[in-house]
Amino acid sequence: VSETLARGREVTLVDLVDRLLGGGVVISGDITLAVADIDLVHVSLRALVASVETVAEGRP
Amino acid sequence: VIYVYAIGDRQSRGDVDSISEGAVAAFVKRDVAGAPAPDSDSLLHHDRVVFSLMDGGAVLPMRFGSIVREEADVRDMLAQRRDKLERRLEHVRGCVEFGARATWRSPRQAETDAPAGHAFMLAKLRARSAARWLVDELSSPLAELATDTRVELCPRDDTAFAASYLVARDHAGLFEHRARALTHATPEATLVLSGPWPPYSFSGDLDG
Repeated sequence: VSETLARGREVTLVDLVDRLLGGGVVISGDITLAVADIDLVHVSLRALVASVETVAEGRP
Repeated sequence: VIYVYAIGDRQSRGDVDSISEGAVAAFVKRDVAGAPAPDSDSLLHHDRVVFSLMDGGAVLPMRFGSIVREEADVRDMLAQRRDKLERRLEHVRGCVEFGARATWRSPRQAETDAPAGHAFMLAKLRARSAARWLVDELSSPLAELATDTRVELCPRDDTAFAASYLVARDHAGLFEHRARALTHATPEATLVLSGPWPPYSFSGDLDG
């Protein structure tokens, strides 16, 4: 199923950053050791986004 | 430690390792050194793995960088939140996520470079009002094809709105077709489509 969907998939870095760092399941409490250092990651990747337009996607 | 990519129905998903508890499983990579490097390669890798997991059934992607100490913690996490997880899996089952951003030169940007005080607030209100109008024009026709929609107004100065749509796979082609037709539907903004994605925007905070 995903092979068909993946064929024309468009993934831009700004959308990738927004979804992976702002979305997804978050578990609070002490089970999850870390969700990286999201603020820091966000800042550094946002700087990258400013200089990169589109990440070409070759899906498996 | 264990890196957790996603949570999904308990069934085999190719080469990705899993830890199961009842009917749900966490899809993981064991024995990692720590959280992945915060770079685009790591983000793309996470996304590719989660996207491939969708072949085997419904998945809820984890927030990028989620690591857990040991297998028992993963089992506890699944067991304690089983009902919520199963409800959310049901919500996203058979669906993919699409994203759409309306990029524009904001009325707020257009006012002046650095408006102050009262003028700034008025400009901000005008921008939000214009963004709402663009949501009606550009997002509402897409939301009609979605089972769930999230919209954020003016997330950045260059973006009138950013929206995420949960769309049944059977409607994915129709959704893309309609979105492309809306790309330049208004002179005020350009609609930029992305996806399909795993349902990042419809997984959320399980403990919130």
